[in-house]
Amino acid sequence: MLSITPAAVLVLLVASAELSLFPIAAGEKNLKTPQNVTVEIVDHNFILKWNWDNEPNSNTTFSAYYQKVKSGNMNNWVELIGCHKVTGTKCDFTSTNLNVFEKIKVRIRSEKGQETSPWYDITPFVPFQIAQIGPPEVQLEAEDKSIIINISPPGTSNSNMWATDNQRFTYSLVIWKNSSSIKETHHTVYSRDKINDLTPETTYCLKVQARLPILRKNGSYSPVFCINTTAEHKLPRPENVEVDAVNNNYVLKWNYPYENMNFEVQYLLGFYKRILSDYSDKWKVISGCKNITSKHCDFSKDITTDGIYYLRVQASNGSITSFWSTEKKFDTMIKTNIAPPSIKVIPSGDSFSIYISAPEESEKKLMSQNYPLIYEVIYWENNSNIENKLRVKQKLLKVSDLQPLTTYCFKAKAFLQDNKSNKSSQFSDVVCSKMTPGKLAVSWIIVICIVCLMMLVLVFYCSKVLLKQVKHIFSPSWKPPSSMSERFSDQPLKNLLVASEEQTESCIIEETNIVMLEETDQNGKSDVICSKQDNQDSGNFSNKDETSSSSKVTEEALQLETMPQ
Amino acid sequence: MLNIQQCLIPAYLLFLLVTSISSLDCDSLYFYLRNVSLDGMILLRKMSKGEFPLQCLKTRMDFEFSQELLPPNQSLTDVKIAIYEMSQQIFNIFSQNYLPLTWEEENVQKIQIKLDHQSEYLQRCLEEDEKEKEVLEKEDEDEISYSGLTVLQLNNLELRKYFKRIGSFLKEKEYSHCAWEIVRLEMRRCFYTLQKLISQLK
Repeated sequence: MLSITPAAVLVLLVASAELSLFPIAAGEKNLKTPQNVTVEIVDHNFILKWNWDNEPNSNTTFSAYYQKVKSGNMNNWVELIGCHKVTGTKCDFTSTNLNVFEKIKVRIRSEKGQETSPWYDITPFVPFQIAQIGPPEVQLEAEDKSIIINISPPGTSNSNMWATDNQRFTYSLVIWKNSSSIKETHHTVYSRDKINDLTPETTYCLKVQARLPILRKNGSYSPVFCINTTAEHKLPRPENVEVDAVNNNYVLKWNYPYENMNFEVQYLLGFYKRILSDYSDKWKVISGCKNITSKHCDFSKDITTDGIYYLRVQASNGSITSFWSTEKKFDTMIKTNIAPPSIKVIPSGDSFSIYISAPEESEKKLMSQNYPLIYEVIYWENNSNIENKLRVKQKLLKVSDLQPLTTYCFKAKAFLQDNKSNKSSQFSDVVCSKMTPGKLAVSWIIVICIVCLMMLVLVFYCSKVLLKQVKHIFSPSWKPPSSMSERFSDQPLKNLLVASEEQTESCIIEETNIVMLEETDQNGKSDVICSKQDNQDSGNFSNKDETSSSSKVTEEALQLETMPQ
Repeated sequence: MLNIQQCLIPAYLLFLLVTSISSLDCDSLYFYLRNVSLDGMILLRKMSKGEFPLQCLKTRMDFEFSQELLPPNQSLTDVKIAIYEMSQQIFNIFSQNYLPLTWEEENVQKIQIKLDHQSEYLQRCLEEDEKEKEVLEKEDEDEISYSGLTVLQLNNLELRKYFKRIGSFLKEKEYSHCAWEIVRLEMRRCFYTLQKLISQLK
């Protein structure tokens, strides 16, 4: 079964593809359908190509049509402009001006006079999806040891294929010395960029390719361009430009071989590099970094919004100005340094509470709010070398299971929660603290008290149970023996036998009544009941059966009746 | 107008409450992106003084925004690509040459900085994902599953079409002040959607 299904699908596919090959209309004789029809889109050039086996014949032309594929409604077949009655084996339909994001169907046939071949249908496609990136245009300019490159994105300015992608092209550049075969590749080059650190007065050649990595599109390389680097400028450009960013303080540092020079630092908002227009006039001088003699400068004040910036520095000796340094890319979110945190240790019972303050938390911008930090806390016994390590995200933690009356030392450092860079701060100051015995004793006392209390409760309970047992032995409960329970299966009678104390009480009252009745010279009818209950109280009664007891009752009653007389 | 603001209030609140950090580079991507949309919305509001100009009501336009523009089976990569696509497209809109003169340039710039920043991170992380994927694919070459890619591209197409409509509208209205005001409103909607997408990275 499994093998049949794909086979069936295959047959269907072949059938649908072949169907168009068979002549349908009567007028069609032997005119063949064009074969291997393909669409080639490079940038905004749309080309339709096909194979035609027959001898070239000026009488045979080809015509192609397209249809928009939209869910729900069928659209009309429309002539593909540029592909109507063409004689060759390809046509350019760029001027059709399609919406590049809309899916279309294209079909083509050959025509000769009134005769037409069956249609050849191309699998529906979205122009944008199949479009390839063409070669970019490149302009070069030499500047000392650098080459300034100016790349125009693939396609013409009015083409709309890459209209929204122009800004996200990433360019790869392959550069080599003309005299050498060692090629170097730069993967992320912007449309206006500089290749630095080259040898002066040397011929370099390069080629550029545009890419849209997210769309998995790699363009074709541009032709090779060559340029000579110029002679070295009298004043070198500042080198090793670095940003030292500690929390929210950004300092630009650079090296320069000569003293007593004036420097100027400029910055550029990073996004200008993405925009195609020329950004050379967008560089801004950093207010505190103009005409300075130091080889470092704090530019924190000029950076108000988190983002990507470029920085460059230039040296001047009054009359001559150097070229600009390498442009240093700086991301405010990716710090180069983190200040150490501070810790506070408070002993509490058999543990320590550790409070970590994030670096420079007192400042208006909270470091910990800006960055996901994790902390590494290290602690050890004062006279030992064994270190214990803890890695935590929270700033309050408890260290327990420690030896009482021992001094422990603590230190902590902060990490960026960015496991790749593994950047960390310096350690905080070491803080040592002794486990407080007082608090320890208190806690022990509390524990002992609780245990004692529980013991007391236990003893009390046990003695109560014991007392009950003793009481039971010496005066057992009023439970009739089993033999008796069997006989008195009748419930009411059983209840009568196992009488309650209330009845006894009423009996006493009745007895007093009897006394009163006796005084008023009445008979002892109630007394009969009472004596019966008296018997019950004595406990002797239970051993006798009903007949004997009743007989005894009668006897006693008789005695009572006779006694006053 | 009022409705949008009402809709945004829970978003603001939600935003303020979210302080926990999930693990960039790309693992803590959410942490790096969490503020961009909210800031974007605030900046949009600040950009033009006063409320929406009433005389522009006539120019109103439906750009047919719908949830269908977004990836339906939102895998994390789909979400990242959608965020990337949206940030790029919004960036494009604000990077056009004919912005109204009444808009404060500084605020437009801030939006550009933020969106550029966001795009940069996403691009980096997506490329990283891609590399990881390639490694995985090399490991078991028998199981090639490229189907995801085509789906992604199709989804992006819907989003692209939507932004193309906005672009065409501006062009058609010759970048008039009212056209821009309409687009500004629409961008707020986009930022809101963007925020929803970003919160999925948590």
